[in-house]
Amino acid sequence: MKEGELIELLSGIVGAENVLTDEIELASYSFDASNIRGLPNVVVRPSNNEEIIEIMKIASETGTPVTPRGSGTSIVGGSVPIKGGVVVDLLRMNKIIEVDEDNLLATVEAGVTVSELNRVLKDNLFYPIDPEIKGISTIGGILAEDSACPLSTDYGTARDNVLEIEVVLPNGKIAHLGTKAPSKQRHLIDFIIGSEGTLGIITKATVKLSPKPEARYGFFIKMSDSSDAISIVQEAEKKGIRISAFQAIYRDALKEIGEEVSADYIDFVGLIELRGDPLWLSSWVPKLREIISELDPVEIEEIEEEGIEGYWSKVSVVHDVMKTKGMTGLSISFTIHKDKMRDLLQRIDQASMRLNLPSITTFHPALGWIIATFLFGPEEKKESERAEKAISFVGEEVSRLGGSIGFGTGIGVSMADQYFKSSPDAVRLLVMLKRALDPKNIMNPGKLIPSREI
Amino acid sequence: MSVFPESLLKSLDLCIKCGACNHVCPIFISQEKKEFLGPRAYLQIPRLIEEELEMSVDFIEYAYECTMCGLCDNVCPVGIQISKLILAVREALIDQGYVPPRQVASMPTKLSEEGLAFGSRELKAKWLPPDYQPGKGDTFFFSTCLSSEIPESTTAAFHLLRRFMEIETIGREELCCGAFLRLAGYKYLSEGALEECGNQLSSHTIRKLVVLSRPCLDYIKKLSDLNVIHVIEAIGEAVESGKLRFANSKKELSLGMIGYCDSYDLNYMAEDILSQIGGIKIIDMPSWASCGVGSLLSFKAGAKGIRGHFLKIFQLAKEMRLNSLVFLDSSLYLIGREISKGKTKVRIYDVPQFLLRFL
Repeated sequence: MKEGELIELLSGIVGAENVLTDEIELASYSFDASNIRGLPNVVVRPSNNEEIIEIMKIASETGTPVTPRGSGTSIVGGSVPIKGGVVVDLLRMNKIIEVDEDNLLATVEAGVTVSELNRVLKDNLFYPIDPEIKGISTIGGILAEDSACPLSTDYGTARDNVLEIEVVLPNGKIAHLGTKAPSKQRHLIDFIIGSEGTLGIITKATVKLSPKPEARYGFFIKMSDSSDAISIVQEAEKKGIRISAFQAIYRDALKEIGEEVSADYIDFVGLIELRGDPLWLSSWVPKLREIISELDPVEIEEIEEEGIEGYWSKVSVVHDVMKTKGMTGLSISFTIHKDKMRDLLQRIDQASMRLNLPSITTFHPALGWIIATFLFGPEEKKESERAEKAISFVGEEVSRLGGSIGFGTGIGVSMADQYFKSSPDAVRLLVMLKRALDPKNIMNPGKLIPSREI
Repeated sequence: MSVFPESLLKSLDLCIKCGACNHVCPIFISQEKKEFLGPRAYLQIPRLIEEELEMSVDFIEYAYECTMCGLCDNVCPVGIQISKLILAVREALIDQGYVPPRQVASMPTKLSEEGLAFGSRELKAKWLPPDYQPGKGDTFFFSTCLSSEIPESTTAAFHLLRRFMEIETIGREELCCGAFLRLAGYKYLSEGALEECGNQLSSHTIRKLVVLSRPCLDYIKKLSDLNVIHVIEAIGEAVESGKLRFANSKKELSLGMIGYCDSYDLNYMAEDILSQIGGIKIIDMPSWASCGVGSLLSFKAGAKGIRGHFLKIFQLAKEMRLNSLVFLDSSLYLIGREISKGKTKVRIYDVPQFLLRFL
């Protein structure tokens, strides 16, 4: 089919004003928050799932690549149309269909952002998976990538907070999976969640809401050995303490923020947050205090509820460093067995030194989740190449040490080769399933699975 | 062939494309979140033009969609002053010899021939009596170039001010201050205009200047030796000191206020003033239903975003069954008047025109 014909057909479905073809319009959909670029042939902006079904049927008939897009906040190129074709922009599908406060459920269209959802909820409820911490990612994107955030230590990732989804498959059929109660279809829902738009377009979901905590308490700690972070987590678990969030920045970041290194060497700075019923906290706080104290912290500060928000910025410094240094960066996100975390942190530090690039490493000890960012001057071509090498190196180390790349952020384009290298069995299984569901490989091609493997 | 200076491109390259800026942009939000109408795309496209895209007429028009509200500047995690960079893009385009769209293109000629950014000297004269001469007072009203396009607004403002203060105005010879030229990217012309305007103001003894519209107010403030306030501030002072009192509305009126995104003080002041009128109900408008200070400039450039934004505002007013929309600045009132042109049942006003009904 010629492009003009395709555009006419699409205009017939969504209306000409919702089909974008101008060069500038297309260019604005050629990037997301990653460094991946790809120009679409056309962008469509549907307003309901029926339109998406029609769009998918045409795409399937003509073998046209389809790339779904929410707010475009992916840092791995998830929403970039690297093979051209049609970008399906879901931001017009932002209706909040139903909020069931008694049962802690909300049914929303895929284009609803986290902040839009949280804005309509009563004060005592919230949706906890907020990967951007500004609430701008869409529910559809969060589910497609199975996103995580600091609170995932307690609340899990996107898949742990969804009960029902509606997905339009590559052949144009629509599938309703799950019910408002735990269902037998859980394994099918989980099959779609985290498949990064390669198996269909999520159009609607019923997500779980959480009550806001009655009480919160924080421990801001500076310690001289990163394995102490793991010890805290292990001891806390044994004593039945539920840690809600534990985010730390590694010593490479401390250098960059000019943290005064005292006579005692500081390996990491972390914030632990406990949330829950005041009675539980009154039992956990002294126990956690003891656990931490026994590990001989360089510094330990306890924070009451009102002060905690202010401390989160102390362990979330990437953007501040970028601002101060006038640099940008490339990131890699992964999980690794807790016992291997310290090794990996040291390897990241090594990469930073060998390749002569500042690095900022944030880690979540209770999850085994590490995000390493290598910084470079935006106009420095050599530096940006070294940053790519650094990411590659870390990815290889993760594979070597049995970790999993792409946790919390997705694999996208950026990590596809690494992912295949590290988990060939998983990717081969994905390929079999992908070939069954999307034989023409039109659904978000080039993401999650390296193109040559299809 | 480089269009944009390397220093500008380097600043643009610091953008990490996180998208936070998009979600505070009132145009992005009201126009159903089209990516190209948000700040993030503005920061990316110049670099794309350097590398792959052709410079096009489309891009030149596109560069004027942003209404310069500055809300994006506050949320950028890496501290980029986004609205300033967008302005720098306009300056670079003009520097390279490209011509801005529609009415913005005629600004340089109008400035040199008539000393105005838009409108005409002839029309500008019409809002005052033909024999008007400024008196001996030291408080002046600056009517701006808007006086030639919305004389009803300037007349109402001047009339209202005269009810409670001794105030003069330069009159038919008043020069353009250059504010809209600055927003358009005519950097040097605007600086020249400001200087000329400053000279003209100095030739009168002015202790206090009351300016009709905020873009001009912000720009004139650069003439550091002047005490400059907005019309709403002058009215607010009079209400507070009891010099101005309003009658009640005979009918129950529900109204919405449309102000600038970042004019919190003026917005609150306007609300205080209007609440003095009995029988009117001020209905809260959602935060997206506010405007950037460069809205009129974008409108004169034929930008689709600001046009769609106002249409959405009128649609909202209709859904909320408002009797009236009060625009908190004359430049916004001008856009409202042009766009509504009899198409909407909601009556539109600016603050002085609205208040005069209750005196």
